[in-house]
This record gives sequence, structure tokens and C-alpha cells, in this order.
Amino acid sequence: MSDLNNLENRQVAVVVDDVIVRYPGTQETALEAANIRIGRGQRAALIGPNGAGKSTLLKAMVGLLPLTRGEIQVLGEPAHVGRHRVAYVPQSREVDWHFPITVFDVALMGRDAHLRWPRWPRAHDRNLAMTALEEVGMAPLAKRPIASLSGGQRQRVFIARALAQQAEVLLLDEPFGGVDTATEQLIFQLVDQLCLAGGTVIIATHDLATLPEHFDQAVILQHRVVASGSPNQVLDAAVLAEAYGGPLALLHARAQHDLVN
Amino acid sequence: MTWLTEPLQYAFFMRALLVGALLGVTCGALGCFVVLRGMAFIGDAMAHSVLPGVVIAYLLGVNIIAGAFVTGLLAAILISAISHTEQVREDTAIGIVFTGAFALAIVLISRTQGYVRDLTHFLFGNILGVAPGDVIIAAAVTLLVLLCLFLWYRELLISSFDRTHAQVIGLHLNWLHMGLMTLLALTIVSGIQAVGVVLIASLLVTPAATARLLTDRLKVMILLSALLGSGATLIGLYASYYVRVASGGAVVLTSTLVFLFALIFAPHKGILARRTRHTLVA
Repeated sequence: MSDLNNLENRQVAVVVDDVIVRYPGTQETALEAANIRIGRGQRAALIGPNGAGKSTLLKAMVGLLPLTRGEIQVLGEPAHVGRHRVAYVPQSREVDWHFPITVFDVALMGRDAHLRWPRWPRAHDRNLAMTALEEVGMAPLAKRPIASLSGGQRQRVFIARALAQQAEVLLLDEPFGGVDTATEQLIFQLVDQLCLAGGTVIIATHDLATLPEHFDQAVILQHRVVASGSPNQVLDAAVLAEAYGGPLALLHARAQHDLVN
Repeated sequence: MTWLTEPLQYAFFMRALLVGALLGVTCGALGCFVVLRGMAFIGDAMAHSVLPGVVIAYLLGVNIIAGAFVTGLLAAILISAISHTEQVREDTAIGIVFTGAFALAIVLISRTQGYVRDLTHFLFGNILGVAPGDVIIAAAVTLLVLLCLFLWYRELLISSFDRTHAQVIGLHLNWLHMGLMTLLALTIVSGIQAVGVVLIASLLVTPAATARLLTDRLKVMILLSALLGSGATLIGLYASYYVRVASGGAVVLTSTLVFLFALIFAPHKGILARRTRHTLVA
């Protein structure tokens, strides 16, 4: 990004410029994101209905999906270059839950972002994995097989893996799906801590009610960027109507909005 | 104990035992990843695709092991290429390629005089036919496979458990897959003399599946699977010596029986243990 001066580079964690992502082998556009800036230290929400391109954008940010056009920079580098500085927690259904692996070994995998072949973990890596498990309250279950956990516990383990990676940018794809209230509260609490320490967190969610309290910035997606700004700005009724397209969703969102304020 | 030592006076039986034990270890260890990555059918397909290589090598008068290895690997590449077109699913591609390769072998054989008897040995294994060279090849393959699993353990672990994480942290999934395929082809080739192509897929899958029933840790699973694999080949070979049955069949049947036993009696995952647990809860 030649037009970005150094000052802006230091303040911006993620830059999305003129990006188009098409589904492989088709002309169908999954996402058209003209311009998104996520500031460093921000808690950012990607909002939108299912299939609006939230996951697509997160995947593009870690280089999992090729861009048809445009550019994404994370921490001043192209998406796939600085990936050890970015931790990504995908939607939980993309994992083999019957795999013979313990909670601790899953958390330890976060360290592999930094290890070189043959990637044998050192005591330092083990300590970080254990600390991360303590932070999410899963340390007592460290030796349990992953298959024996509940949905909320599994999500905690994956958050721990991301924490063990000690990334500067954390991407969470729908982390609250199938998760209990305690886990949801814990995730928000950890996000607050990370951002206070200078980290950046981007969460894909469709829960508008959490916006004002838990986020500094929000982007509404509906295959393109419908709105971007502070949570209260994007909760603007007209914007919601365009994204969700129904009066019911609009009323519901507005009621939540009024409740919080 | 003389019944244990008596057959050992025959050099051919010693060689068969050695190859069997080595093969059991290799197939058992590698088989864990075959099972966990859902590649059981690919293993079977590669084993069958080795056959045209054997026949072609025989016709050309070149090394049969080399011929088998090449066609086994070619089949894996072909399966991969066909599924990458995204026009057919992978299991369909496997079905097409391995039956095609097998048919090619049959067509070639039908044009070849006097080869039919040798061929059944490659299909079902021949305990008498293990040459000193086969022992060396089996030992070399075992060493190579175990070394690779040791050095690439974390890559294999992560890419088998969570492909997305593997990609995000920059692992080369295609290289890992092709590496695994190469090891698989080498293992199959080193085992065709003792167990035969039709039955070697069983050694890749059954001990690993049995081990999975007994543990929730991958390292323990690999160790158990290797032990179960070589145990089954040793028992099977003794059985074939005393009861005079085909060695390959005896080995695989032993392995299958051990699996069924584990399926019923395994401490936590066995059918009995699960039933008792349900009763206790209720």
C-alpha cells in the first residue's frame, strides 16, 4: 500500500482494498469489499445474515481463499505473509471431533505457527499452551480427549489454541454458535483483555444485541460492505433494513438497540 | 515350546516371519494415518493398482518391485487429478482408477503364457517365495516409513486433525499428501510377496482401527497398531504353517478376529463397556 503513510500503517491492523472474491470455478461473487479499515486494538464485528460473506472475508484475511481482485493487508503485510501473527478460529464443524487427541495437544498446536520443522515443541511452548488453557478454564481437562467435550468446552479449547499462538490479530468465525452463556461471557472478557494489551480482534457474528457493549467497530456485510463504523452508526435502521431485508428483523434489532441504550 | 521353534529351522519360514513382522509394524504405524484421514479406500486402490506394474515389469524383464511402485504411485496421482477436476467425488475416482488398473493387469495377463500361477502369489501372497532380497527391502521400507513418521509427526498430526489450521500456519497439504502416498506405495510393494495385493489393504486398516478402539492418544495408537499388525502376521504365519492354509488369508483373518474381539470387549469403546455404562446411567 504505497498511499498509506507509516503513521496510518501503525494504527491500522487490517486493510481491505477493492477486494472481490468469487466462488472457485464460477463467476458468482461471494464478496465484494470496497474498503474496510480495522484499527489496531479494536474489537471489530463482521455482521450479516448467513451466507453474506463474513466467513469468506475472514478466510481471505488468513490467505485461505484467493482474491479475484484487490488486496488485503494484515499488519502491513499481504494476507498470507504474516500469518503467524494472525490466529484464526474457524467454525467448529470443520474439524474431526473423533480424532485421538487431548485438549492439551490441541492447544499446543497454536505454537506450530512459530515452530520450524521438525516442529518439536519446547518447554516454553508447553508452558504457553498450559497458560492458555488456564485462561479459558480448561486446564483441569487438559488430558481429556477432545471427543469427550461439550460444544462450549470445545470452543474454549480452540480459543486457547489461538491464545497460545500469541497472535497480534485474532479472527473468530461465529464463536458463539452452540455455546453456553458462561463461555460467551468468557470469550468477550478475553477479547477485552487482548485488545487492552494492544491486540486486534475481529469476530463474525449475527448477534446485533452484543454490538454496542462489546465492540468498538462494526462492518455490515451483504455480499458487499453495507455499512461500516461505530456500533451505533451501523445499527442505523435504514442500514439494517437493507442488510436483513425484512421489517421483522428490523424491529427486532431496533428493540435490542433501545434496550442496550 | 518346540512348536514355536520347530518351523524356525527352515530359512524360508524365518524370512517370512521377518518380513511379516516388519510389514506389520510398517502397515500398522502408517495405517493409523490412513484410517484417521479417511484414506482406507485409497490404500486398497493402490494395492490393486500395483498389479499391472508387476505384469508390465515381468513382460519387459525389469525389476518387478520398481514396476509395482511406479503404477501404485501413478494410480494415486490419477485419483488425485480426477478428484481435483471436481466433476466426480473422490470415492468415485478411486473406484474408477483401481478397477481400471486391475482390468489392465487382467488383459495383459491373458496375453501372457505360463504366468498365471505366479500371479496368484502376488494376489494372495506366498510364504514360500520370500527371498533374502525381500527381507532387505522390507527392512529398508520399515526404517524409511518410521523415520518419516517421526520427522513429520506434527505436520501429519495437524493436517489430519484440522486441515484449516494446517493451511493457516503454512503447512503444504499437497506435499504431505503426496509424501504419504509415496510411503503407502512403498509399503504395499514391500508386502505383496508375503500377503499379496488383495489382502495388504487389510493390514493398513484393521490394526489401526483396532488400536483406535483401545486408546484416545495418537502416539499410543501408532504403537499399539504396529504391535497388533506384527502380532497378527506372526500368528497368521504360524497358523498357515501348521494348518496348511494360505499365509495372506491366515494373517488377515487373525487381524480381523482381533478387531472383532476389541469391538466387543474394549475397555471404554467396546460394545459391552458402552452397554454397561448405559445401564449404569439408567
